[in-house]
Order: sequence, then structure tokens, then C-alpha cells
Amino acid sequence: MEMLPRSMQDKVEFYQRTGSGFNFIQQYFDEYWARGYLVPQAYGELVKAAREVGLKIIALDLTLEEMDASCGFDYAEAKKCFDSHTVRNLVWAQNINAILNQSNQNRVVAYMHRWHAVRAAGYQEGLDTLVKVGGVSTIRFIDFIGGTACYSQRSCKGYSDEKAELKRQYFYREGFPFKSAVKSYQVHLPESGI
Amino acid sequence: MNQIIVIILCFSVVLCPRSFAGTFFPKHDINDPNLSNDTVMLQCKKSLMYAPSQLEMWCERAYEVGYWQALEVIGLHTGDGSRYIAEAQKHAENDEPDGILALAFAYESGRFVPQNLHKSITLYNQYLNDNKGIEEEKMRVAGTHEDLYLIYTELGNFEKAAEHKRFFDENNYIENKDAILKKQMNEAGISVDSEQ
Repeated sequence: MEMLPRSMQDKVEFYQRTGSGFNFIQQYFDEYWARGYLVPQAYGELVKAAREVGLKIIALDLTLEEMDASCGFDYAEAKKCFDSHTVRNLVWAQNINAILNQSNQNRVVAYMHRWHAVRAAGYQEGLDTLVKVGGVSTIRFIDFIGGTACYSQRSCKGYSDEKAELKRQYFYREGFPFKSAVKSYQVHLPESGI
Repeated sequence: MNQIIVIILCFSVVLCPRSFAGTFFPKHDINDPNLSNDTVMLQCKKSLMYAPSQLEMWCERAYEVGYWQALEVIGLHTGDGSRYIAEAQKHAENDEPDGILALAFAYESGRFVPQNLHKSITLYNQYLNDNKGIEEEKMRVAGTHEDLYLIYTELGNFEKAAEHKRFFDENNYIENKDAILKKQMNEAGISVDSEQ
């Protein structure tokens, strides 16, 4: 998952193996992924659920310090070097491809922001093409939309301009409103409270 | 005494709320006169994922300081990319590589305009004609050949696709990209290879 840096993989594996040490992982989410009320806790629940169903949890990302190994906009646009967004994408793609190359039995579910999954700008390749270039052909991109964002327990709302009836529905459809190099779906979450 | 307590509480309330931008979005002061234009543009780009509530503020500032490409980020956020396309067209008409390539990608991807692969091909070829042999543009030229390879593959024109693939293969584009990444990572002391 995007939300954990590779430097934490030892702690992740310890938790996976023993069930202990979850607090280190939750602390990281609390410090770096506090995007709204319950967001860090939700990522924590994702990690717990992955362990419960027997998935191996892999930390994909670089640390903030490692992300400094990047260049400014003008140079990045000219493709003379990579900005931090692209460096992250390249490293994640390498990590994912390495896992898939270990065994043809391996399967990967990668959680990330949509603008990592596809090309964010002309010069910023997304995981969709980078993983394909690495030789992987069976990829699906699932874009979650809808849902709610919360600033506090009492302040939760959806931010879409959908009709009220649509906001309450849980559905999926094929396709993605921007260019994707792989078969894509959107899953709409209803705007129900937590 | 009560007044002092109230002030402290208010101050605490102002300081306490968590930043919903998280630490991936540095807390720069947009009014800081020492802020570089590059940093402003970086804040604009980062805000798309990490601080959408601040996006328009940073991206409009980036536009003011000369980064018309910031309008693309605004377009992705608001759904209206008309300003971006108008700017890209203006810069393309001035034969500026950034404008030509931006418009080419817009037509290739259907971003803010109806997808039109043939228009995209024309624009990419215009860029190649203007910039072949220019050392500064070496990587972007190879990258453009890669884009054309993908477009022709999508169109089923495998002969043209092969022609463009030959170019970026012969120029070691993929290897050069890997080398740039390795150099950047090594200079920052980061290990590139990881075993999971």
C-alpha cells in the first residue's frame, strides 16, 4: 500500500507474523495520513483486515526524506530527471514487478491514490503503464468514488454533485473518466454515515 | 484571570486541529516573498492529492508566476480544463515544445477535449520535426516516439508502431530512464532494488 514506507517493512512483517506491534503501524498512519476524521484508523483497519484474510502486507512507498531525491517541475517536464511523484511511481512499479516475478502464483492488490495509478500529467507515467512495461499484462484498475469525508464525528458529508438518489447507491461501472492503459472500473460508495 | 483562560483555550483550539493535508504537503506560506516559483508549482501539483482545499489558491499563484501548466491541475480538480486548453493552444501556436506536447497529450488522452488520436499524432510529429537532433530535448524526443508507438499500436498500425519502437530502442530510452532513476536514488543514498 502507498500509505506505508519501505523502511517500515520489518515492523509490518513482525505484526503480520506475531499479531503484535500494530501500534507502530497505526502511529505512522496517525502522523502522516491524518486526512480527516477516522482516515488513519481506516488505514489501520485495512492492514488488520489484510492480515486476517491471509494477505501479505507490503509497504510500497519511500520516506519523505527519500522523496527529496527529485527535481523541479521544469526539469521533470523536460524528462531530464524525475519529480518525486514519478520517482515514487517508478519504485512502486519495480517493487510490484519484483513480487510478481518471484512466482506466477503471486497476485497483488495495490492501494494508492488514483493519480499514481494512471498518468497524472504527460510527463508523469502512472503505474498502469509502468507495470505493463515490466511485463505484467493482467492488470485491473478499480477507482473508488463517492463516499463521505469527515472533519469530525459530527461533520461528515459527500462532496459530489450527484442527484440525491445516486448518492445513496452502491454500484460499479466499467471505465474511467481519464486515460487508463488498463481495463478500469469505478466503484461508487454510497454517502452513508459512519 | 478568566479572560486569560479563555484566550489560551481559543489559542489552543486554533493550534490543535490536525492538518488535513498531512505531512506530504509542506506548510509553506503562500505570501512568503522567499518562496521560489518552482516550490509554488510543486505545491500546486501536490495539492491535487494531498490538499485539494488549497489547490486553487496554489495553482492560481503558480499560473501568476508563469506556470500556465498549473491550469491543468485546476482543470482536473474542477472538471473544467478550458483555460488550460486555451493556454496550451496559444503556446503551441507559438511553436513552443511545452505547448505542442501538452496539446498532443490532451488529444491523445481525451483530457478536456474529445480524444483525437490523429490530431495527437500530427502534434507529436510537429514536435519531433522541430526538435530532432537537439541534445536538450533528447529524452523528450525519445519519450515522444514511445507515445507514438503506443498510439499506433492502439490504432492497429503495427508498421508505424514498429518504426517508433525502433527509435526509442536504438536510443536506449528505457535504459536511460533507469539510469536517471538510479543516479537520482544513489545521490540521495536510497537503495533502488528491494526484495519483498
